[in-house]
Amino acid sequence: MSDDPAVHVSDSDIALAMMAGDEDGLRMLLEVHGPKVYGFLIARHGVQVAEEAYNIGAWNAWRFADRYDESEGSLGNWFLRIAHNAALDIYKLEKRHRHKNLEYVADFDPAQADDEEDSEHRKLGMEAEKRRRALYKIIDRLPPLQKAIVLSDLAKGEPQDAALIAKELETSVNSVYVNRSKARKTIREEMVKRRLCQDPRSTK
Amino acid sequence: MPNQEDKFWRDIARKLRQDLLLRPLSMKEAEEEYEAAESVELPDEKLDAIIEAAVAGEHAVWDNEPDPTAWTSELDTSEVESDVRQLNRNLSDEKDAEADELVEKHRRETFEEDDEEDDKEDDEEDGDNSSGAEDFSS
Repeated sequence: MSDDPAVHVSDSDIALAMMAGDEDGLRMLLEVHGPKVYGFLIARHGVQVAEEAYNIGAWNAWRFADRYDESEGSLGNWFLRIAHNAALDIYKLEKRHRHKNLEYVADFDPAQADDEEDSEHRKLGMEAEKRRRALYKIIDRLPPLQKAIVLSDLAKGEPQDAALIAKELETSVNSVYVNRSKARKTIREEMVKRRLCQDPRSTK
Repeated sequence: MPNQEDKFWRDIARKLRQDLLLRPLSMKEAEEEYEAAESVELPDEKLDAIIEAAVAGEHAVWDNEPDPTAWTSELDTSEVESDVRQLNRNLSDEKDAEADELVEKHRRETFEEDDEEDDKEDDEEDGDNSSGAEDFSS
């Protein structure tokens, strides 16, 4: 292996090495693209989620190397999407269930994207970026249990099973309901206060 | 009937999910995020752990117990150094005659009090035995 993999090793070389089960391929992936992917995870999800997501992402990249298609983007891009999906699974509390036996699911794409939502999101542009930053702050300041519930709900796209949250976070189902309600109220109030949305009480 | 909070949440949740990128990224988004990301290097031992775990068929788990002393290197202790040194002077070679004399005085007094108490207890025990305490040997 070369001393500076970023200069001498192409994405194809790395992917082929991983597909052949050569662990140097995984090392090259982590050395060449890992720092950017890890930096993205920390910026987007915070250190705690980033660490776990990175580990799961690297494992998935290794397991599903044969599903990488160079015509669909760079290897770094692919690895980033896989690691980001791993972070979403952590929020969704699916980390234990989702990653087992996926090798046997023929059409499973560890870097899958939702293009419909993406095109809608891109239209929002700067306004969305501004709102995103404000929302990060609002959600980040919620008490830990409320924050975990909200992120889990949002990552799942619908309210997460309260019993599952209660089990994972070692609390009661009733506490999940109460904290979910409190969190939503706080977010609504903060968003109205920051003029990120209209007060629902003012519109009939 | 759904309350106001539920209704608000239904309306806003999708938007929140979009804004916080709590959904899979498209290739274009991933490309932009990759370009914009800052590089954060991981130490070799962590890379080794990831690779070892992946080859063994699992993902690595890092033990990230916070180091309780990690923050102290950033602390400016210059203002309290002399006080700390005074408190811990017996760890250094510095001598303080006045303090030593005081310590010796207290030590002497404490031992004298102990001796007096011991003598008193011995006298009481002797007295009890002479007044017909139970004899376990018989």
